[in-house]
Amino acid sequence: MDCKKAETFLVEYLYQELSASRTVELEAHLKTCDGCAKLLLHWKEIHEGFQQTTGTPAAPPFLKQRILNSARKELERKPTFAERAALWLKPALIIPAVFVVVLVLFVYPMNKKMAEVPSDQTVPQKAPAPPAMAEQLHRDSFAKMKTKAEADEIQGGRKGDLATETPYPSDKPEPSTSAPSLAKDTESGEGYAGENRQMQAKLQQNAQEEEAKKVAKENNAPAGGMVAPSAPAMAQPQASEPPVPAEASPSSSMDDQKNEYAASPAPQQMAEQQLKANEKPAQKAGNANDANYNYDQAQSNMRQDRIMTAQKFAKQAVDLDTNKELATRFYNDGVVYQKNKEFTKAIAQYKAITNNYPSYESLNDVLFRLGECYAAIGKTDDAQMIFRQLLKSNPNSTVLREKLANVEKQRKETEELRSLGYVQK
Amino acid sequence: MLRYKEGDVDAFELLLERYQQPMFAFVYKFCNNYHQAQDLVQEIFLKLIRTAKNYEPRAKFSTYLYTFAHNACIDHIRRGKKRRHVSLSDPIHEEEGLTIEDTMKDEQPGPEKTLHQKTFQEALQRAVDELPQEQREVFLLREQLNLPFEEIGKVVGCLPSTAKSRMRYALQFLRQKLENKFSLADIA
Repeated sequence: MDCKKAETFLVEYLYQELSASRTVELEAHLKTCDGCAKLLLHWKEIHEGFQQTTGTPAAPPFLKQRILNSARKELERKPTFAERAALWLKPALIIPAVFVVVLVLFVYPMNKKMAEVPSDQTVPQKAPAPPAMAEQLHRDSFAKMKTKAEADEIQGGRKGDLATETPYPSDKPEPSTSAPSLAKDTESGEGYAGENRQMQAKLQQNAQEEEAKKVAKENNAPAGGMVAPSAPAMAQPQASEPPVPAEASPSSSMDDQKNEYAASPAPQQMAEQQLKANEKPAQKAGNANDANYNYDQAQSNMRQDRIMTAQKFAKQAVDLDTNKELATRFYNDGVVYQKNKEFTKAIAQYKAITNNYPSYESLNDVLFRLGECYAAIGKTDDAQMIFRQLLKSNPNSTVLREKLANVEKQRKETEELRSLGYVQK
Repeated sequence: MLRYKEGDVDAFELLLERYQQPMFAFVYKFCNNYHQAQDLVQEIFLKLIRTAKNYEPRAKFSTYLYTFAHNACIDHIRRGKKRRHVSLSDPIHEEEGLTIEDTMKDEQPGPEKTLHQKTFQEALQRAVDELPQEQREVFLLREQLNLPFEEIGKVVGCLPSTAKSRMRYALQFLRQKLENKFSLADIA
């Protein structure tokens, strides 16, 4: 066990949540490593010091009585008219609400079909990337997870925190150290490596099917329907290229997204814009060789929806990030975008981590948030795949089970509406 | 809680006796203000009372209650109320002449450790106040309420591994802040 790994186990050891086998390993390491032993002693002193902190004040005696009086009053209180009405009206309101939702989902797309956009109409300057580009990026990014180390990380392998992400630890046996290694799994094609390849293959298949449908639809539909970009312009598989899919509006339903995509430029124009952007020489600033400078430029462009430029700067930042310090920044920005409901921008941040920082300590959290974002923009298949994969390494996680159940429910509802013709494929 | 839902106030009193002081201690450490802690604890239990009719025992009651506490503390921060350090000699009840310090339990270690311990604990308290919010809430839930990381994850809405990571970062931060104040270096 090395010091980096030992440090990740120290927290659980300090609070007696570490499994027996890991405890033996860690204690053996602590006997030989003064640095880790000192670290543990300092942490222990912090823990004991806090426990002995000069008391905490007692709650005032009248507080309990005040709360109890409120509890009694609440029991004696008769429900107000509004509460009784809510109980009665609730079922009576559900049916018309469903009717309205169905009308909106059915009527709106029909109206949109009738309002055709001519092909020679000028397009807005800041048109977001169409969905097929996002799918291409998505496909490329997952295809890049090729190394054993990456596959091991995603499946809760032995590196860093992921090795300790066993399910709720109290009574679950720790995986045996003699368990088959990933190398064996890779060789046999079984186990987590095989499952990861299957997941990637399935994601690629999903993306290809969607793209094929959209292209077929575009060929059949008049100009101005959903468009797909020219694939070669975006298919530039570079190892450190962070995927930057299209921006979704903050409260986008699937129909809002389709509306955005319908407004994007025709494939040929998009390809030309991309090529022009790629041809521009990189900025020669005094600090252009600094990873953080390039990262800041990437985020600044991202905020202004200049996706291609943001992508270029992000790639440069990752290439220059020899100390692998940008992962945390990507994560923090992803969280902010996610909280602001800018899910596609959040996805771009999280994907930058999964593609380029496979040993990031909170990788499972990144994947979890990625799954949430996919669910938010309606990519239920991708969200399901991620949550299922996480559940394999955390089988007792109720949070993951709930998420998976919600995504499954969302997927079924969409399928149902699709089968009734209310949602376009 | 189920018994209170059916109308048994005594059952709620039992809950209060069990959880009021730990809850108060947690909230006090979070906002570092005796009177604000008092208001927050009252707000938390009132919310609990008002939602009692919809209570379903899907998880441990402590998880349910501490989630309320966590949300109340976060809302409190968002409302931008300033945290000020309250003096231990601030009165609680002016008529009785009681101060906050009077209500605290006091441990009596050996005299040769008292000064170091006191200095260390004061520095530790200040350092805890400086922790980033996400790390501080995990630290307090673990240290103050002794919740396992699994439960902390449910309360704050993250994976247990994330809770452990935040705890590790918190301890690293505190260690850095208390660099010159550890006694074990001297003993060693």
